[in-house]
Amino acid sequence: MQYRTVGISDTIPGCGRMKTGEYFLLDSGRIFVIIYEGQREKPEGKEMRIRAMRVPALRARLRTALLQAVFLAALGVVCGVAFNAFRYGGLAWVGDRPPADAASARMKESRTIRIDEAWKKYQQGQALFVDARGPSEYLSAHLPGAVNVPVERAEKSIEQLKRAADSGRELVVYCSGSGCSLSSELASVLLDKGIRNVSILPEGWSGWLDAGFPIEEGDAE
Amino acid sequence: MIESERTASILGLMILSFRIVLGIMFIYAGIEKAIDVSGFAGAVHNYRILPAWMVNPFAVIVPWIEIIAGLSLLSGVLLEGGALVISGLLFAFACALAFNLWRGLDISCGCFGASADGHPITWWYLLRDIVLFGMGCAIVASPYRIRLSLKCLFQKAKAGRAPEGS
Repeated sequence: MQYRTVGISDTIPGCGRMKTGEYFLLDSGRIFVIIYEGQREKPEGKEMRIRAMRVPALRARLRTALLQAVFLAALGVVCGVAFNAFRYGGLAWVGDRPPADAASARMKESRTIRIDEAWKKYQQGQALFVDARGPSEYLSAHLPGAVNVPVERAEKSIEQLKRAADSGRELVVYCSGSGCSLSSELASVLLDKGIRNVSILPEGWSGWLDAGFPIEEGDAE
Repeated sequence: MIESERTASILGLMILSFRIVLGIMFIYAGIEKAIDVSGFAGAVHNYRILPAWMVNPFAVIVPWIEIIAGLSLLSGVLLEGGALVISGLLFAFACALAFNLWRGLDISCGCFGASADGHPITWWYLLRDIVLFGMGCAIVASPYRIRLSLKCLFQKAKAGRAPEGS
């Protein structure tokens, strides 16, 4: 890489003497690097007027960055605390209720169903399992008769699900396990679309396996 | 224009574009999360990394740190600090994502607030995070930057002042 060269004795008023290896940032955004110490020849671009600032070494810049970061983070804390204190329905700081959980809040909206109950309803033809997991997990194995409806593709399956619900079957939504949120996300989408007959199987796929109920492999559709 | 200057100004523009991308993204994500704070707390809870008592304070504070750091990046005020904060956040998010991908938890990302997408996390999210992290680090480390405002001494000088003794 080629640099514009400047003699060592050149100074920028207010910034002092230039040393080899120093960077200067021009206000055009260009960098000006001193590479030849003691060069005496007149540099090219004499007529160019520059306005420059010294760019400190990386370590010094990092130190500055760290101080600034601490300040910004502290500012963030102050803003967050203040905003939370004054907004309507701010979050409790700790403990007097379980951690605010959108998924569990939605879970309260939609019903949950016990595993054995779900199995009984399925056997009686009164339930349709809805798998909220991704297609690959669904394909490897799923609950008997389940249809795969990942949340992002819920729109496409709405009609099918609506028909099933209208025919009196209960839509039992599940995802991978007891901590997963996809089932409650999907359930809330279905509720939004006006399908009322939705319940969540909180134990999910892993609970179903543990309970030893039959499963189905491959594509049921 | 000589070669180094062209390189420097291209790099400067690159850094500027990183600032704009990260700045807008973090302000947007921060506002989404700050508005739906309980949704974000739910997403944080689902990651199952932080102990329960830390979930709510984290959800309350982090969106604001994102907003402020984003503003810093866009405005150029305390730029290095803002870029460092964003890099740190992205690094932490990458660790959390990688950990949960590794143990196979099918949670939604919560990257732009809880409701933005219901997709389960994939390695693609991690890749995106790492790319953004690279941008953040570039801003912290690079002297090639075009500032909108400069506080330091801006002194006029002539590039080619006659050297001493000539």
